[in-house]
Amino acid sequence: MATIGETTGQLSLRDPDVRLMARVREDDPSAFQELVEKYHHRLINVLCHLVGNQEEAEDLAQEVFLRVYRSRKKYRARAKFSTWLFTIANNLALNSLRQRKRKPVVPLNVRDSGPLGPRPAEQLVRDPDYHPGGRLAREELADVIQRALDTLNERQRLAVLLNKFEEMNYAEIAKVMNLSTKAIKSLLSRARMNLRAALKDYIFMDGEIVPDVPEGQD
Amino acid sequence: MKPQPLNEKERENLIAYLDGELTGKAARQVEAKLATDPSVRREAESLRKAWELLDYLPKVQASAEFTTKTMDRLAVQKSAATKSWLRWKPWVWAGGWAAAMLFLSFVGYSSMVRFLTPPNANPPQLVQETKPLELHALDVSDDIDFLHRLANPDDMELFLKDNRM
Repeated sequence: MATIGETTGQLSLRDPDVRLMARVREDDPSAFQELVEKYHHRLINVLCHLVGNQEEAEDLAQEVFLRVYRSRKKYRARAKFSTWLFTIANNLALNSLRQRKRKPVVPLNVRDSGPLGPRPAEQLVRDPDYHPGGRLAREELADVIQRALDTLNERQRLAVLLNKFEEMNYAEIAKVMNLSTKAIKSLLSRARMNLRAALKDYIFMDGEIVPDVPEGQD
Repeated sequence: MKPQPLNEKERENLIAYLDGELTGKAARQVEAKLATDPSVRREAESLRKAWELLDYLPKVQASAEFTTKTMDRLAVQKSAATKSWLRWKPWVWAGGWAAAMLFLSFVGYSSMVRFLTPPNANPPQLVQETKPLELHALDVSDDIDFLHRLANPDDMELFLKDNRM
């Protein structure tokens, strides 16, 4: 986390992405490609869990990178590059979710659509390391956890994803979400209470039951 | 003494402590609660385990052609921006030339007017100098006939009258 008064020079010494972004500012296309390659998986992972759709997540991620490029001349290294990147992603994703609420779309199940109807069995390539029991259990669990994550509101979900997957501290999340550190502390507390309530049946407590505590509010 | 359930602020502090975000006195208070209260320990454990379950979420990978697609889209945007500039370029030049010509015409006209007009052609300062005198005379006399008589050197009656007084 960049401290107040930290100069661009000091930051670029610590954050190689700031140096990379300085090259992007000088219109170096290879530096921009390097940034895209470095961050695209991380960005799409967070966006996909946030919006719940890989295609939409990729479109949003593409728009995030294009905005980074368009804003390159205005970029001033006041924080880590990743904080700036996820700030842009946060704005775009929340706008997209708000628009979706105004114009709800019904997702079409790909397997049941198209001229061939359900997808032919030969197209479902089987994983060579396929173990029916273990894999199914893991997939089911992942599904349950995704649903638990979906019970959180958008802000709680984003804070959880940034904390868990991006390992951002409260101050960094506050910067990305344009909130105070105190607000993030409270937001994450409520999010984790809600998550625990949603995952209660899947928490193994060595024979003890999960404490029955009130859920966090929105 | 029966342990009290955590209030909202204590729970926030407990979670911040689990996230490594709590220091100083607040951290020591949480540590003391954890050491003395089994229900707080259970709560911390369940929160930690719920958090660990998130590790089972699949890591979503970008499609293989993501970088290429992004770079292509960037190239399209750059070319559109260049085309747009090329479309506007002649108009910008024409506008610039027109503005420059207008400015030069104005400068030329002003110089010509200044050069051709003789000095003292219009001396407004004389009018300004005489006006206060006339006004002053009117203020004193309060009578226009008196002024006319004063202007006439043959009108001796005016002075005679004064002498008589």
